[in-house]
Amino acid sequence: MKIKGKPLRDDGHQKRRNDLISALEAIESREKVCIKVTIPYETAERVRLFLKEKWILESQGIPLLIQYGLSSESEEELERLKREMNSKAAHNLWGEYAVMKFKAYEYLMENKAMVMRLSNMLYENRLLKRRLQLKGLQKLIPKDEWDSWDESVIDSYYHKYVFGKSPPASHGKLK
Amino acid sequence: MFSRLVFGKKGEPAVLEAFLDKSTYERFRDYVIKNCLSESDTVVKILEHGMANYWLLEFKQIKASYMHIKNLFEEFKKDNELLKAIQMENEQLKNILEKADLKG
Repeated sequence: MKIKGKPLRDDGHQKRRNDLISALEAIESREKVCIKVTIPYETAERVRLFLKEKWILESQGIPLLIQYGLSSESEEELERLKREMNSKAAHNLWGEYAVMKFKAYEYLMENKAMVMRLSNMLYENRLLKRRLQLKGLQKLIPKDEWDSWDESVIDSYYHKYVFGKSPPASHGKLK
Repeated sequence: MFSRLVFGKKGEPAVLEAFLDKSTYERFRDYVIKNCLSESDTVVKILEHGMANYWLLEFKQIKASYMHIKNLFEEFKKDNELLKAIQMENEQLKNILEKADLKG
């Protein structure tokens, strides 16, 4: 059984993967600065209703609105975005993005569960192949890319899916 | 440590508490200085702008992260296929050995 492609990617992929896996952790742990200001009742009420309509929690919505409010897009840029957003391709993009994000999360969780059993799975695989060999059934033993995996490969998967961070520099890269 | 709005009596000014990451806070501070406004007026102006362009900026954000999510999705999918292949192969090898044991 042969699966094409490398099981783990280069540092760039590793970084992007980390971005997703630990996005929430990173946001939470990043240094925060608190601002506390008085604003008119009408503005506060509008913000409250705006976030409520979109099912966004105040804790997430207020910093988001401030971030968006500080954006420096020109009127032309906003107009261009508006036209683009109303196109059919854009409508598809919203849907595709949501589906892909959900599926990526599903794979992430499923892979995490499998990686936690990876050592056992590989041990069992080698044991079964050994037994076939002892029975003289060499012809039935498949050649697999995981035959050559050592501890560093398993560790890399652990770092990727279980710990959600890059493996230490000393860890060997996968082929 | 949550951003929130604290309302007093109806019609009276409310208190807005926001926890911003450092880069957003720096942009906010620059905005206050550049526009010679009070922090309160700046927040109001910024919130209005954020609400008015919310969907446009959300769309821009999604466009930017679409390819990133797509690459991650493909990477996770490939790993998933590989990990499942090990499991499946173990089951197949067990079946072969069981059959061989029965024959032998």
